[in-house]
Amino acid sequence: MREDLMIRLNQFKERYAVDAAVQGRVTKPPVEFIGEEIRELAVSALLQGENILLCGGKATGKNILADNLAWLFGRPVYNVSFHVNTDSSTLIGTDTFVGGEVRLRSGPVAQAARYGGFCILDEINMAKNDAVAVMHSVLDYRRLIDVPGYECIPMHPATRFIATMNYGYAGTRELNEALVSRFTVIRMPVLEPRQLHRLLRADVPKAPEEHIDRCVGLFMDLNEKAVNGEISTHPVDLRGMVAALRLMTEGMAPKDAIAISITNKCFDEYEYQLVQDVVMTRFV
Amino acid sequence: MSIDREESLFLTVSENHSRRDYPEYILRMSQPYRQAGGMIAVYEGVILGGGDKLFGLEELNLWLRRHRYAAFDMEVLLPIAHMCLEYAVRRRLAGQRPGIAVMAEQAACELMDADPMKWRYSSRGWMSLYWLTEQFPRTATPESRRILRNFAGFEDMLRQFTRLMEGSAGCAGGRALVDQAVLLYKKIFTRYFAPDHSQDLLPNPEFSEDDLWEGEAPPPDREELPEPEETQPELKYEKAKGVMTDGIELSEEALAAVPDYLAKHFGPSFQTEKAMQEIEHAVCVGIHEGRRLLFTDGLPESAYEEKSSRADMLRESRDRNLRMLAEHEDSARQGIRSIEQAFRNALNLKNDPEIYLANHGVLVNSALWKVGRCQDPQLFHKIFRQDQSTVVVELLIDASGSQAVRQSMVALQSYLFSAALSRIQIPHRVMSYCTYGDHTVLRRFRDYEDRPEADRKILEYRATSNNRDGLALAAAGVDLLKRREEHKIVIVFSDGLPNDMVSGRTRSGAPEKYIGDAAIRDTCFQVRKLRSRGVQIIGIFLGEDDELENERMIYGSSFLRIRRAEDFGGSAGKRLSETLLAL
Repeated sequence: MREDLMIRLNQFKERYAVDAAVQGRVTKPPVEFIGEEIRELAVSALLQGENILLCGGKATGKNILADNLAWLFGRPVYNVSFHVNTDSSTLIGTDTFVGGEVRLRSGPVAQAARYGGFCILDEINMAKNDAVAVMHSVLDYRRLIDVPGYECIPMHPATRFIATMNYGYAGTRELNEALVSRFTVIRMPVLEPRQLHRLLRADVPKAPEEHIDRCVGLFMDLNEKAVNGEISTHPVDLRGMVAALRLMTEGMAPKDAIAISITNKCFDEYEYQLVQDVVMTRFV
Repeated sequence: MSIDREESLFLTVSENHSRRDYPEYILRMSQPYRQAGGMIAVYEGVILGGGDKLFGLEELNLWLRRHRYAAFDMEVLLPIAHMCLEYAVRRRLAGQRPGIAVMAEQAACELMDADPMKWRYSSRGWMSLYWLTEQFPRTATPESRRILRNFAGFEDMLRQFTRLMEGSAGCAGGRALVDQAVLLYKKIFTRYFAPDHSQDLLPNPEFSEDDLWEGEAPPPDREELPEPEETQPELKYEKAKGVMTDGIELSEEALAAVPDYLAKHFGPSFQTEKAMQEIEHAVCVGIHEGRRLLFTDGLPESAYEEKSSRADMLRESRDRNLRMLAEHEDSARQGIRSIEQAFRNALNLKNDPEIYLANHGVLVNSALWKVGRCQDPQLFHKIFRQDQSTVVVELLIDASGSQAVRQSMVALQSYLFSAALSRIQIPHRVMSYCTYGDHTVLRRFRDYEDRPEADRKILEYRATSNNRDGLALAAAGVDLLKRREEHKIVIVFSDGLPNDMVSGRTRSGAPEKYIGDAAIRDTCFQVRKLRSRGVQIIGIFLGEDDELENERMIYGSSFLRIRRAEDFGGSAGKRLSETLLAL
């Protein structure tokens, strides 16, 4: 990483110490994000106090980057996975009864605001736009949460929001302008074979080089097919590919490992055949 | 974009996913292999993809064409070039794609067993048999071994042939590869074999008498040759291939008369000229290029009351459908209830919020007495609101001639669905589709917001002519995708056999005919295209047992088979419920 960024990053960490109560939330991610430029872009934006929206296709490392950023800044992580039923109570909090009185049971957004955490809003476009409207005051210049019936929760200066969004899946929605304007948007580039190779090597250190090459080749083939609309994004499954590589390394026949981790995930007969053919060219 | 296995592999192996046509001589070279089906056709995709990646198909085509102008016999040169290309691709891509060798062996096995290229009937074809046996010894059959015994005494020629063939793996470019094929052409194929090449490929199981081994020619093989068998699991739309014909082409005059005919027999269009142009621009692309659409509400009631043969036909058809409904009144009522219940089951689950007692959430005042009295008072309601979004349904009915035998049953079944949807107030549109000449007619029986009385219009359903399922789906999808409702469902009543044998004008560069594989492939593609845009599609299968495979291919697991109206009371109703819940 650039030296000036490193210096500013260290200054940031010195300025904002982590509360002992949430020290357990500061964890090192298992995998390092590969992609220096993107990481520097994100760090610069976060240092400027911006919230970022990571936008990209499947297996472009959005979540890995989010976790890595939190670790680089040394901040506690709060994860929220968005779905169609996500509402304000899921995000901000809801009433509870403690010590003989009704109190606010903080949601992940409120907690991140209090402790200066990095709140990762995963697949933010899966929720309905009106449900996330409660986030507007949190994300813009006001930087506060106003919960009806309670005091306003001011935002800790180290608090940042990192949203991720997949674009183009069935069921995903477009984000409305009001929400998007509150983020700086980083488009995640498609993983290159070299990066994917490093990633697989890091995930399965004992895997033979030949197997990694085959998996990388197959993944790129399937990704290209999905990008060009020949198949859906179902089989473009990096987690599945890592699982397959792990199984191969443990001794399973490569073709079987790919079948159970990738090919069989296509429940559509037409697509299954196309994927199976591509697998056939790569694995004996 | 609809692709088959061969094209899919071509795009993947060539590492260039832009759709493109094969150049002229490449097409001629690979056509027999692509038509052979099974693994031979699939592997052809690998060969062409590899050829494009390593040499460039345009480059290969250029050099092949030059030899055509130099008076080379292309019937001889193209198969040689194919052999060289196959070997070069297999060798050069082996490191990157080791599975290619296995695919090559499977394809070789099919070539040896079924001999779709009829190699065993020409002495030059024996060279191909020899080459495959050399490369894949396990594929040799007793017959091929017997044929190859004829090469006894020509070991030098075979050695030279093998050396030249192996040389193709090292060719740097398209020109070098074609030159290598030319070398084989000159040094082997025209030197050792008869000069009159046109006599070489014999249509009948006889051996060429003009080949080199005069006097040594084996006796004509009288054995029954095995029929080509499909041993590979492949896209199972073989049945559709069975109905494949060359199609019928309409003259310009006949095409010009189609709009008038349609207006008279189906009714005027309900879309404006501008709207039609927009829809046609969006959906009449690819294989549907140059096609037209007609959206109509059908003929007015007065058309049924005229005294003409057409009115008689219309009345007779509607009466038949009405009789069917009357005969099955009880089971129809039961069917409507079952379908209604199936939809209710699926939708109620999604609409009712689930409420749990919890220690956080919305305070329940009536439970406050528990404070200090109970250990875990659970004073709150945790409300889990399910997706409250609404649903819209599109019913599409195949109105092609193949449905004529079961017309009344189809009308009844679609009526049951429509009536059930009306009862639960789900907006739905019902249209039938068929194709006349270059026009695909979408006959609307009821629109999304029509009142329940409109359901009975479905009984005017008539089955005639051809069907372009893919185009109908795409055209219906245009309006459906504009709807605000979050859940969009299309239910297609069809026999899984899209088929438009009567085509319009033919010209160079025109899309392929909408029959057989091409039609199924397109329908598969349109279904998936709509699904990728969030539309759920269910197929209701109305065909015969042996056509079930096509339906499965098109709709995946989301299809139902309903033979009779009574079925809804039993397993079909349950199955519909399950299918809807799975969406």
